Amino acid sequence: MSGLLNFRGAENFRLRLILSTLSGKAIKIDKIRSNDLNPGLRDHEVSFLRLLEAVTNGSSIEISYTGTTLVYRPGLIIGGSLSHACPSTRSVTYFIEPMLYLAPFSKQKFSIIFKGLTSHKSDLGIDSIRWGILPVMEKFGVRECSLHTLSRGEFPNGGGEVHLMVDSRIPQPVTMHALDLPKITSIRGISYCTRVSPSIVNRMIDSAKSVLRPTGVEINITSDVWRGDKSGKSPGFGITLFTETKSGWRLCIDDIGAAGETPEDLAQKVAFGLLELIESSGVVSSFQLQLAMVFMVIGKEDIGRLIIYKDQIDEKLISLMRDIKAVFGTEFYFRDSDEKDFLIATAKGIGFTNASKKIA
Amino acid sequence: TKNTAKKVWDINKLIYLNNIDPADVIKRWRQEEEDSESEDIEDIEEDFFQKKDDHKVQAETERKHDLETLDKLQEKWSTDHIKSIRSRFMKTPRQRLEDE
Repeated sequence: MSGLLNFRGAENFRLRLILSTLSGKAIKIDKIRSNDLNPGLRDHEVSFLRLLEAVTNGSSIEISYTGTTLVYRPGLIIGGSLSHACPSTRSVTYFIEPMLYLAPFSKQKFSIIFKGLTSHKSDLGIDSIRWGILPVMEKFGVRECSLHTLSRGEFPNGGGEVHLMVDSRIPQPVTMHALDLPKITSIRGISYCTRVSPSIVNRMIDSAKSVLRPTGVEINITSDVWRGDKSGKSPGFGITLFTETKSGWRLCIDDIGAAGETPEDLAQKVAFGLLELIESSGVVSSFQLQLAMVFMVIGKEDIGRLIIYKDQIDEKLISLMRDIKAVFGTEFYFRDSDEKDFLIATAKGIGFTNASKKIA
Repeated sequence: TKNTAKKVWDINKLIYLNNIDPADVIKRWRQEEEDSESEDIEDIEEDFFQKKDDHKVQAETERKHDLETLDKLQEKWSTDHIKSIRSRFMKTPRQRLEDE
């Protein structure tokens, strides 16, 4: 078949579909786990395709019998009010994060209620989206965006509910110029628990503070205890930590307690993780960088610039940059920054126009 | 310096050489920085053209962040290491006084 962009393998699955939807270009993904004992798409991936179908108009999805090949022809992004039941294999954030790439360019506002797990070891926490990704969107001009946790639902039984609302719709993202490393003025965080002793949140706060105290800045970690119906079906706890700067950039990290892990160990690990993150990030941490890069590419026809730490160029980012090039034809160029070991990522926007706006 | 400029040029080229696996791109890039002898980009290309484009099956578990064990982190940050990131923080009035 002609006119299809070809991708191979299961990696970068959601973003490939998002890039396709933004560009309006049809894609084919083949060899999805073709050598696996259990080949083909996973439950959460199929569920994600359903969600994409629901927020667009006129998309077509063809999946091969074995589930190893997929052809996706994107329609227009229309958004709207809906509710999505997420499978228990991944957290609701697996579904929320990619929606943030589409929502600002939709015909109607996005108002989606996600039901399922609100935490999972391999996914971002709800608070990381709220304090990590939404501020980055704001930098690109998407101001009215909110995420409300109606109830928490911990691993494994879930029962959580989260409401995503994106009211801003913009023609294209603002051109980014972030060349300096902003000074961190304080460290903030959220320590939460469901269906366990509320003292756990304070134990986490104390441990995290003891690690972070030598930084010399103010540390303010909020305790967030969930009770009754709003605490989901499983016991659990977790902590999110982020830096605060005057310019609004935040580095953010989170994790949840694993079986047998003490709240102290978890909080210390996340706190050390934040220090590691400060040491090895530019203005954004890796999960924020993905969104920033995509928004730089679909921005105005101007050169956007963003400071990153050199080790932030990792395998995942290279795959993403290759996928971006395949879809939009845009390359990133890295040049030295004034700061040692930091680079400036530059890319020219494609002058993308919000397709639904053009028609309306 | 001229040397660092060359390294940057390398990564910009390496990223979009699709026949090189992303993991190898990183390996090449970081290794090159370690040995000061800069490898010729032509050599790299040649030896990658021979490589078969076999697709690696990625690990099923996507992890959010790859952190070291708590012990290792504790060891790293218990020393004066925290001073290396001091410059990223706003100074408190007291610290400013101490500096003077």
